[in-house]
Order: sequence, then C-alpha cells, then structure tokens
Amino acid sequence: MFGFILRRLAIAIPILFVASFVVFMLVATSGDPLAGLRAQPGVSAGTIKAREHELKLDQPLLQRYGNWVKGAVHGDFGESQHFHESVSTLLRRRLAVTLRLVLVATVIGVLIAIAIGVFSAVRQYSVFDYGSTALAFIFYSMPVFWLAAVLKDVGIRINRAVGHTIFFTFGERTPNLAKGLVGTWSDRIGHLILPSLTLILISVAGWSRYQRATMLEVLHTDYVRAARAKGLSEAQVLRRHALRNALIPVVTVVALDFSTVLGGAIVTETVFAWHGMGSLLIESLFERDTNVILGWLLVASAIVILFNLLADIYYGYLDPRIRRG
Amino acid sequence: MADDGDIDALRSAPLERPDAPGVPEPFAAPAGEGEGEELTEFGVAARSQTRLVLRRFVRHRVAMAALVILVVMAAMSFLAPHFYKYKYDFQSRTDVSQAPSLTHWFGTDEIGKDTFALVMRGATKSLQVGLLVALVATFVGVLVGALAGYYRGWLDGILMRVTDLFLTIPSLAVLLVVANRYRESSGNWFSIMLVIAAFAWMYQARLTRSEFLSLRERDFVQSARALGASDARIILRHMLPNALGSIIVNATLTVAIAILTESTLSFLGLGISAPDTSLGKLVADFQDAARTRWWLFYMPGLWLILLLLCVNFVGDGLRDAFDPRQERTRA
Amino acid sequence: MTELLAVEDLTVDFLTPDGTVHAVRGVSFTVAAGETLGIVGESGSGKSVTMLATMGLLPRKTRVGGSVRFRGEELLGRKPKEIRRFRGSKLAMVFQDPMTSLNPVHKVGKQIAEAMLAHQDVSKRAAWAQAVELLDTVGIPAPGRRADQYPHEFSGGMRQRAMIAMAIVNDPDILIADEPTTALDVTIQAQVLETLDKVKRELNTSIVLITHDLGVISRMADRVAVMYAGEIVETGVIDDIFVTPRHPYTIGLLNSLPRLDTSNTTLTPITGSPPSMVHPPSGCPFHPRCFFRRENCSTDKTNLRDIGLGAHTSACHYAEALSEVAR
Repeated sequence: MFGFILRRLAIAIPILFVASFVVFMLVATSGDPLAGLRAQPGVSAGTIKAREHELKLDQPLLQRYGNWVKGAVHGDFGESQHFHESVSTLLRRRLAVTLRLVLVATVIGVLIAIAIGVFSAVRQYSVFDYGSTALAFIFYSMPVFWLAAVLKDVGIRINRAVGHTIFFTFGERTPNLAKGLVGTWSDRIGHLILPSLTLILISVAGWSRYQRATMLEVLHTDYVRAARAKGLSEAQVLRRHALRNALIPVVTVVALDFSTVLGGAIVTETVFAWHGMGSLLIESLFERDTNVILGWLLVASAIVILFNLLADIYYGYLDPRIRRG
Repeated sequence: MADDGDIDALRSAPLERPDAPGVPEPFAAPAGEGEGEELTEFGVAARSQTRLVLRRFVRHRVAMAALVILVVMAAMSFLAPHFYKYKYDFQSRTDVSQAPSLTHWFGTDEIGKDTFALVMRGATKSLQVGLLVALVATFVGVLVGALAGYYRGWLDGILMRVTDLFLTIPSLAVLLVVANRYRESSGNWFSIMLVIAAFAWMYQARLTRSEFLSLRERDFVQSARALGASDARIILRHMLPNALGSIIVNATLTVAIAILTESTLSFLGLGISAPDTSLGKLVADFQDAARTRWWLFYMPGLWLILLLLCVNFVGDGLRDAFDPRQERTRA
Repeated sequence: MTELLAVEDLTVDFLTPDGTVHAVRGVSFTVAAGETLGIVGESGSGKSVTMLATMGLLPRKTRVGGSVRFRGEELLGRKPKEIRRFRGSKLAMVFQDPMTSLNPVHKVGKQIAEAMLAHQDVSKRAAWAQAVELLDTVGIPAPGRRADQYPHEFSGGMRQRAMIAMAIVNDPDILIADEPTTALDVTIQAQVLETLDKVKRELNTSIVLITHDLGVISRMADRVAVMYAGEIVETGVIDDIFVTPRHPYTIGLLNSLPRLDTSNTTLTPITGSPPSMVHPPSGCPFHPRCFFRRENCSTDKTNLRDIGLGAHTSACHYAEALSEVAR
C-alpha cells in the first residue's frame, strides 16, 4: 500500500511540472498584458518599452518560465497588476471562499447522489426510479449559469414574499458583520444556500446516474448471485456484497470530478457575485493580469492533481486488487 | 503498471461537462459481433447490425420523441428567417418590452428586438458550434485513440500522457484563458468553436483507445494481419466499424457538452460576442430581467435546456440501441 | 433409494422485449440420496436455468411453473425468507466462473465463513476455523494463510475448489455444480472433479452436475439426463446413455466425439443450429436436425417414456428402432 502511494506520488510531481510549463506557454502566448497600454493614444514607444522591461516581457520565453517556476516553488507568484497585492495572498483568500462552496456542495451532493442511485437501482423500474431518472436528465441538461440565475430569482421572490432576507443572493458574506459566532455562521450559511444548491442539483444529476448504473452492474454480478445462493438475506447481500463494491467507483469519480466542480463554481460565483476564485479569474482575464492568471492555473492544477492522488489512494484502499506492493 | 491500470481506466470514465460534474452511465463496449450475424443465446438471427441498432433505437420511445423534437427545433432555428416576420437584428420602435403575443411569439426586449428571432439566431449559432465541435473533437479523438490503441508502445505512452495533461488542467479555466484572446473579434464563432474542440477530444481518445486495445486481440484482427492486410486497412475496414457504436454515442453526447460549453463561455462574456448572439449570451444579457420581463430570460434558457435535453435523450437512446445490456442467463 | 429432489413439469419463461423465451418446457426428474445426476446439453438447452429455478435464483421478469419438491416440501412459489432456509444449507450451488463468483473485495476465508454464519449459530472464530479446515479438505495447501487472502491471489482451480468449500460448509444434501470445469484447463479440471468426488464420498452428498462435456459426465455421473431445447430427451444410467443411446440427439452428441478405439476417423457433427426458444419447433424439438426424422416428428409432441430397458427413458417417437442405428 505504501509503495503504491509512493508510486502515484512519483508520477504526480512530474505531471505538475509539465502542467506548469504548458500553462505558462499557454498564458504567455494568449494575450498581451500591455494591450490596453498600446491601444491608448499618445503613449510613446519608450514608455511601452520601459513597461515591457519592468514586467520582464523582453526576456526570452524560457527564461521567463524559469524565473516564474523558481518563484512558484517558493510560493511566490509575483505581484498582481490589477489588485496591487501579492498573488499568493490573493489566491489564498479567494481559494478559501471557493473551497467553502465546493466542499459543501461536493459532500452533500455525494451523499444524496449515492442514496438516490442505490435506491433507484434496487427499486429498478419503480416510480421513484423513473422519476429520479427524469429529473436527472433535466438537471443534467441544465447549464449551471441558468440554474444559478433562476435560483437567484426565486430566492429574491421568496425574500420579498416573506419580507425577510432568508436567501442571500449577493456575495459570500455580509461585510462588516459584528454578530458573534452564531450570527456569523448563519450569515455564511444564508449566503451559501443558493450557490451550493445550484451545484448540488446539477452534480447529483450526473453522479446519481453513475451510482445507479454501477449498482445495477453489481447487482447482476455472479458474486452477488453466489451470495444469494449461500442463503444470505437480501439486506445482507445488499450491504456486504453489493454496496461494498458499488460504492468504490463513485467516490473515486467524485474526487476526479473536482476540476469540473471548480468550473461550476466559477460560473456560480459570477452569478452570485462571490469574491472567490471564479470572479478572480474572470476579472484577471479582462484586465490581462498575467501573474494572477498564471498563479491561478498552477494552483488549480495542483489541487486537481492532489485530488486525483487522493482518489487513487482511496481506490487502492477499497479495492485490494490494486494495492499490491 | 498492470495493477494501477484500473485507476487509469476509471479516469477515462467521466465525460465531463465543463461547468458541472456528472457522468453518464459507464459505457460498455457495443456487441460488435461479426458482420451480418447475431448469435443469441437461444438461436441465430442473421440480421445486419445496423438494422438491429435502428430497430432498437426506434423502439426507444423517449429517444425517438427527442429526435423528432430536436429536428423540429433545429429546423425552426435555421428556417426562422424564412417564415418568421422579424429578423434578429431588427429593432421595432413601437413594440418595446412586450410580453409574448401572437405577433411577437416570445415578446420583445427594451430596444424593440424580437425575442423569438433572437432565440432562433442564438440557437442556430449554438447548434452550429455544437455540431462542428463534435465533428472536430470526434475526428481528433478517434485518430489519437486509434493510433494509441493499435500501435501501443511509445506512441501510446506519449499520446496518453498528453491526454492526461489536458485532463489535469481545469478545462473551463483554460478555455477561458484561450477564448479571451478572441474576445474582441466579431464573427468569432469559428475560433470559439476551434477552441472548444481543442479541449473536447480527450474523452473520445481514451474511449477509442480502450476499444482498440480490446479489438486488436480479437481473432478477426489477428487473421486479417495473418493474411497480410496493411495496418491502415485493418484499422479502417476491420476495427473502426466495430468501434463505431461507442464513437457515435460519444459524438452525440459531445454535441450536448459543446453547446453547453459555448453557452457558458458566452454567458461569461468570453464566447460569441455582439453583434452576433448565442443562447448563453442572451441569458447573460437578460439575467436581471428575470423578475420584470421574464420572457427575455426564460425563453432562451428553456429553449437551450430543451435542446440539450433532446440531445442527451437521443444519445442515451443510441447507447441503449448499440448495447442493450439484456439480462441473459446462461442455459 | 430415498428421493431427495423431485422436479415435476417445470417450466421457465423469460419475458423479454423481443418476446417470451421458453427456456424450460416441462422438465421432470428426480435426484436420490448419494447419487450423482449429470445433466448434459448444449448452451441454450435450459440445463442451468432448470437448477437456478430450483434454487430460486432466477432474475426478475420470469415466469416459473410446475413443481419442485425437496424432501416432500414444495420450493416454488415460496416467500424469499423461506427459500433462504434451504439455500446454502440443504441445497448448495457452485457456479461456472470462479473468477467472478467470488467477491473480489472480501477475503476468501470470510466468504466461506459467511455461508456458515448464515445458517448455523456459531461464533465468528469457529466459522473461520471451519473455513480453514474446509480449504484443507478441498486440497488447498497452506489453508490458514490462503483463507486470509483475496480471490485474485488464488489460481483458477483453487478458486473453484474454494467455491466448493463454500458450498459444502453446511453439509448440504444436494450440491449443484453448474459447469464447474468449463472455465478451467484440462489438468485443473481433474483436480476439481476429484474434489467433487471426495465430497460425494466423504459427505454422502448428492451432486447435480451440469455440463456440456460428455467426458466429465462419463467420469462423474451415476445417472444422466440429456436436455435439448428446454426438454429432457433421454435419461438413464451411465451405460444406458453411452453404450445404448436411444435418442438421435444423444447419438449425435456421442458421434461428435473423437474416439481412439475405432478406425473411423471422420467426425459427424449434428447439422443445423440450436433452435430459437422464442419460437421453438413444433412436435419434437429436435426434428429439424434429426437424421431419423419421420412424418409425425414435426407434429406429435414428445414425452419422456419408459422404453422397456430398465430405468432408461427416451422422448423419441422411434426410440426402439434406434437400436439398429446406434454406433
């Protein structure tokens, strides 16, 4: 098991390096940070040259990459031109906000998806099965941005009807709130409900289908039939043989899905005006703040690789066939 | 490594929307029996595979209905300028912010543009992008996957590492970065399409690769090789037709994902831009109108959802048609 | 001879979207204490389905008719909770593919012990000890260590023997072995068959051996039932079937086997292919492929009947006339 973990780790690190290279090349060639400056009338060539030198844009590409990576390894991603603070501080703050949303949505989503998927499989062709299938298709065909906007609209309507703000639709918290622990928590939760609901509904749509399919597959295996042949009760068969095998793939898939959940979070944050990674990226793209974009992509890739690693380890723990060594 | 291969196999499982997680059913290889004959447990029925697949698809009522609706929607979108009174860029001075009526089927916006015309135009663009992306992505994916699966060895290694890399970096983020370049250029839907396609081929590659890996061990491939057939011939005439089922299903699902991606990009302002429009852009433009002029926000959204729903149902129907997964008992 | 299992007029229909598949169409036979009954037939003959119906292990969307009595008690139509009393304790089954019939995520010893714990009131430790002992009985070396391993660490033959251990843990009256050797190499087959033999001798278990392999039958079975297209077409003791077959299908099967004791070097396979069980042939199901076909074979229904040679029965209308033709 330990050797297995080491092996996966040994693969992960080079991947991260290659990813950093690709990311850098991509961003460096995708846009000109000085486009805005160049477009302005009355700016002399000298000023532009000076700025170029300041931002080290006149150095060869590989050298720039080298400098950047050296800094990145120490956690230094340079300065943000637009936000005027260190990129790493910026990222840390924004990441905390986004992770809150992503983790809550993922954990709740997985639990609901497993429940629905397993129940649909065990009660195949029942009303519940058909119903959950129909809903899954509908939500799976729904863009995150649209659902987010709809929930925002519904939230506002409910707030108006009740005369009290239950669902916060702007930002991730109320600024300058001085209310103590319980007050702060309920404020955070109030802001969290609609965005996480958006992500939950759509992820459950996909994950529950996957769980259902996996469960159905397992229910039709020879070893489940053999377990029944032994005279075990249906509950025992389900618990000890079916579930034990059917839960393995889905949790792994969820961990691997992290990068897409992140994508959904980007969109949701835009609709609900959260100050997280999503809006950070969009803003930086519009402002051509290269350092932020680079740091963002690298950190995001690193997290994806980390989650992949965790998924591998978890899978290895659950499936003895993988563990060897 | 053989033991670690199962995880890599699992990694190829998710066909991911760019904006939300969720995987369609784990896809199983199609029946792929020899041409012309289908051996069932209880008898031999000589039916051509295509006819069998079509028959099964037609029997799938939901998928058929979805297909019909899809065709109608596509026809309406593309033919709208011919049968509908208003053009999408026409601004009426009198009919401003009107609710849906018999003249303006989906109502109008605040500068007098007809919403139905806008939605049809947007749908046209979305379908255009979606279909082309699926075409390009499928082509690239099948090419990469077939080569990797057939030749294996170092070619496989390189191709798969590249695929893995593309899968590691968060796709939506990268899409945004690359699409940013084309933000200002008008008439940019083609570039957007290429950008989306550049990040949509990976799953198809993995799928095709695993299909080819198992197919190359099959007897009919071995015998073709023994008869001296060239690699190209084997790949094109023998292996590809057998992998066609999964390729087609995945291509269909790619259409849905492509449309979704384009809408998301347009919503965020990095996709199709003015003066043209897309369903995503329409939703973005009118998201604040949801409360006061609901038709401006809900019409494009619902049309988009219906489109995606139909594509997904058709894809699901195709998957069932190619691999019905009957409960068989060995007698 | 005490009759342990009595199957009478068993029918099994699978309801599929392509039509109803009549997998088993009126099958009757008995299994006595201590005997080995071999059920022979091609894929699709209904032999596995027959025994799965007995154990109540058929998937949903099936229609089962007729009667299956174990020690006088009717098994069909029982509630799941009642059937479980028999399953794994009085009637046990070993399946064809040992690779997929053992749960890959549980240790082998645990899976064997589980079978015991489901029916006997013993401690987990006692069950585990018994599991180890049984692994030893079926001839697996270092059983203590092996019980602690996972199925993928076993070889194919060992897995099959572990399955047998799992089946006999509660000393069943009848052990049903569904193609136990089909997925194995010939050399391993011998080991598994020997294990079954041992079980039969030492525990006096009756065995129902389902297979398409006549060689396995000739080695293991006391009595044989030949199945074709969902019906039993001939039954008898081993010599009856192998030396004096009285059904064209049986004759065809035997003739398809290469032999060393004659100079006849041509193999004569049975022409045609197995019939569709959605629309089985009229009259005698074998008539489309039968070399002895007569006028009435396509119209008159067949019945397993005593043909006056002891316990030998045949469904062929012309069983008696076949004595000239056989071999």
